[in-house]
Amino acid sequence: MLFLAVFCGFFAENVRETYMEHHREKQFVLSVAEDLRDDIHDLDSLIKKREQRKVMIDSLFLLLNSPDPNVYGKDIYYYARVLTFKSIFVNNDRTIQELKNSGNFRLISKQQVSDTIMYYNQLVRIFELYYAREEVFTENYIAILSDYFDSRVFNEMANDSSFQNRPSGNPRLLNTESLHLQKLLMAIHFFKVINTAIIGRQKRLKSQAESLLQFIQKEYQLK
Amino acid sequence: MLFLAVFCGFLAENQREHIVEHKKEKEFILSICQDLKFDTTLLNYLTKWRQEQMTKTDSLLYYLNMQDPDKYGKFIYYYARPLTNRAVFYSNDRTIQQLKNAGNLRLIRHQDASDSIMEYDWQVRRNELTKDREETFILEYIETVKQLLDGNEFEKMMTPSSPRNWKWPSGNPHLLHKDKESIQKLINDLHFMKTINVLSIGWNKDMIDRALRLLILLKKEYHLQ
Repeated sequence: MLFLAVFCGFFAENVRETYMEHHREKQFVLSVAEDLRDDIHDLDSLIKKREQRKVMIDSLFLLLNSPDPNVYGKDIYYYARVLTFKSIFVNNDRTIQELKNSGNFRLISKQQVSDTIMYYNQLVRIFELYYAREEVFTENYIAILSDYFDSRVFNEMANDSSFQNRPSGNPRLLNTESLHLQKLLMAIHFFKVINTAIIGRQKRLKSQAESLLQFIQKEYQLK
Repeated sequence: MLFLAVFCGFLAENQREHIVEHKKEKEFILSICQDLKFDTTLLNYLTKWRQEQMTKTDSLLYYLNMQDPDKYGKFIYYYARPLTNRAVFYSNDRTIQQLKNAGNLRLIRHQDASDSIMEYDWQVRRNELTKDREETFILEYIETVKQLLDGNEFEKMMTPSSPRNWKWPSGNPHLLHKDKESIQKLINDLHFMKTINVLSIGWNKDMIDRALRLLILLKKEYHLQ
């Protein structure tokens, strides 16, 4: 009787632990799904913003390459200034960090789900490199702005903290000599390339988030 | 009788805990094996990519060292632009982070396996410095390129599909500066980029080797297939 009682206790504890682990697994998976929904939402709006940025970069490049850029001073000043603002993607990593740091990744019993979550995490980590480089490009770009633009015009534009409006009148550029403009055009070119690369990455990440979400929903029968 | 019951309960709980820990150990080892497979696939891809970058660097150096590099503007523009691209290695650290952060490394009973896992992790982290340095070199290179080459030509070389693919420039675009000093600056930057690329190729190959050795060790120690 005694051995039976001990065995039953052993058995019950095992069952309880397995049950608890499955329960936790479900909680983690639900939380990952929630994070993915947030990411998809954020990425969607960021891709739109980046596409708008692309149009601004192209416009600025085109206007600076026109025979007399000063004709378009108002637009050039506006685009040149707003390009220093950019939006970055901050991944909602609440669950992945928890899984990694608490040793709970092993609770995700479906290997393919666990692998796909990690693949998604790898894709997110690559952004660090892109953003770091974009930040350097921005700093270099800001450093050369004073060679071409009148800071008083920028100052006037700063009265509207969201920089929604173009400057009044048609301000002139300080330097429109072709060889000098080259430096600015090159800086804008690198802006464009990194922006295009980020858009591509964000689209890929969004599509990966969507398929991971669908996969999780299917595997764990979530709604 | 009561003492015997308590003692048996204690033994049973001890036994159960051992079983659970062994199960967890096996799960972690299987997970590490999976991570290592991902790492080797990525490292193989990156090695190939770096070798292509190396060919481009050598071609660019060849044309820059010509008597009159300006005559080879088409080649210089074509090879110079993609060298600013980067592909870096991010190790799949799912299991190692779990082992380290949750105090689960103690579950790995085989000391050899535990040591080799940590050695692998150390090698991955050691590469962070090289990654940072390579980024610095590329940024320096970009600054030099900005001085020497025409941004409008680069714009025309862009393909809508991907910023990683570049078209050949039409005609023979000229360099903005043709003096020896400016060209030498670019050659110097390229030399440092090439060196770090060679080091990275060597590191990638070494890591593939380490990952495969670790996989073999884990499979042997834990009788995995």
